[in-house]
Amino acid sequence: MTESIPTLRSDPNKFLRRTPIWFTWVRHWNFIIVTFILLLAYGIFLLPDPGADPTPAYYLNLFLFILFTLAWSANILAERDKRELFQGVVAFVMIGILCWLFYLYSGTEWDKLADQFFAWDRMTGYWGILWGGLKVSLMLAAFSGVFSILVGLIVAILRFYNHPTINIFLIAYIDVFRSMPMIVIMVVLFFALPYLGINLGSIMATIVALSLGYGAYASEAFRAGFEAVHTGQIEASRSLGISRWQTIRMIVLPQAIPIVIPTLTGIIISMFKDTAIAAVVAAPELLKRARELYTQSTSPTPLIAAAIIYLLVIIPMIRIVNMLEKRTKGAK
Amino acid sequence: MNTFDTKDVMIEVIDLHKYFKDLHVLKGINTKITRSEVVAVMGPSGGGKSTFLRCLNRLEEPSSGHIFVEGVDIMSPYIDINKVRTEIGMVFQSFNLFPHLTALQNIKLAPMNVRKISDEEATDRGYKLLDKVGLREKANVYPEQLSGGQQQRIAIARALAMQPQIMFFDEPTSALDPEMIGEVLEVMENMATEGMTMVVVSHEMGFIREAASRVLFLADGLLVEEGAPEEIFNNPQHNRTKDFLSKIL
Repeated sequence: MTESIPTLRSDPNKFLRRTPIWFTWVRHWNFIIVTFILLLAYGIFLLPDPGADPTPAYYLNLFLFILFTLAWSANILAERDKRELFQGVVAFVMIGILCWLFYLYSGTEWDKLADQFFAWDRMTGYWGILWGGLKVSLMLAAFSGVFSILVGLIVAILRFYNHPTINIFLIAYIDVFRSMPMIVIMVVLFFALPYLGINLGSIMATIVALSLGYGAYASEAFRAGFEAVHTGQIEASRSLGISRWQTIRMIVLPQAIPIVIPTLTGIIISMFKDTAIAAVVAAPELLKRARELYTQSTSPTPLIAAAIIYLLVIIPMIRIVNMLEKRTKGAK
Repeated sequence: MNTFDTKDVMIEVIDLHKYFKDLHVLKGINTKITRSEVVAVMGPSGGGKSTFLRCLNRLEEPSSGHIFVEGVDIMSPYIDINKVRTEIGMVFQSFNLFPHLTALQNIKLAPMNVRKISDEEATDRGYKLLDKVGLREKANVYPEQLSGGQQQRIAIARALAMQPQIMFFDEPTSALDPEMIGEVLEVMENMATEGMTMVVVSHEMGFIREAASRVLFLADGLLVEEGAPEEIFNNPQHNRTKDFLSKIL
């Protein structure tokens, strides 16, 4: 008899998942509970003493325990059918164990944390200076943001005309500024140009560097937005006798800008973060101020404070970008 | 016909060639389109019908040849092609309405910004055209809320708002559901009876029989055959035409 393709009737298990048998008991509650108890026992009795000599055995021991922890949680997190709440708890337990290991074994002097990193009493009179720095940072970002969007828009519009000669210059600009690290652009503008008699000053050098650097990125974002507008739109507009410039203004831009806004907002956020580079050219912005205070007070607390300020400013901005992205997706 | 009598010749095409890189799409087209004529352009796909039409208003730049619109060579560098295009309305297969504007705004845009007419006049003209295509109640609706047939009728109204001398239709019903084709063809037939000069790339046999005064049969970049619809449909001369008609009839 020839071998026929099994039907559901001849083979009722046709659609069953063929997994090795250990998969069924590895994912079983009993196994998970037993392995967790083993994990706890390992953690309590077998881990080396934090103060012990760091011999190879000491590291191997730690490594095995981390491996055990990861394997145990991966076993639960990989199962699609497990309840989400339980998986969340497991993820937290895993991260907790890893943090606890870091706390014990990293050799950090934790007792110094509070009076070094968070010595807020040493910050008296400093907050105003940091606030002044933040204002400079925000000012730098605002000016560079406006200019880079303008540069990007103009470059993108010029590229839309697709003139072969002009395109060469535009592409050269985009390539040069996208391939240079921002810190290099800034340092060249601030330290090298004065030798040619051009003294920009730290604030101007920063704004020019950020505008040109991020202008290149913004122009690419705009170009992507322009390309997302269907060619039929441009043809329809041109066939009505509407000029190329009017087509850009009345047809392409209104359709491209909603597409580009999330990307542009992302670019502005990156730019705000990059204003910290201006510390290198001695612009009196947040990081520069924080470093001055750090030397003055011989405490890292001002640096920590600056980091927290950056965090507090940027997290809401990132939330806004996500919201905008969702909205443009919803509109389509 | 007296070649110097250009009084009624709307478009004259002389030896029109078009290359896409190495691909020779149009291989020397010669034809004349007179006022109030409705010319249907037929032929197999890839035969150059759309390219031919798009070359006539330089939406596609011709590689060589001359195109005279009302006796003026539009290939001349002294010509402002935007001004030529205001005299030539164009309707596309995929409607290409501007999605960020309402139906009425779509219609008003070009007259206000190119012809520079006032807002009231444009609105007035817009409503008249909406009446003409039977969509007055859709004036303030955005294109995405309209059916294909309605979008195409708005697109026709948009082209007519410039009060063109000539209308081009590039497969206006190919992207439509069958039950919507009729409403668009009806508008086109009305325009033909009103004496509009029209060039229509289409395979709607009923419409061509009814409205067209001449059929151009384009295949492989050549104008294979031309003549009155009855002539072409009932008594095609070339094998290429016979072959094509036997497939679509």
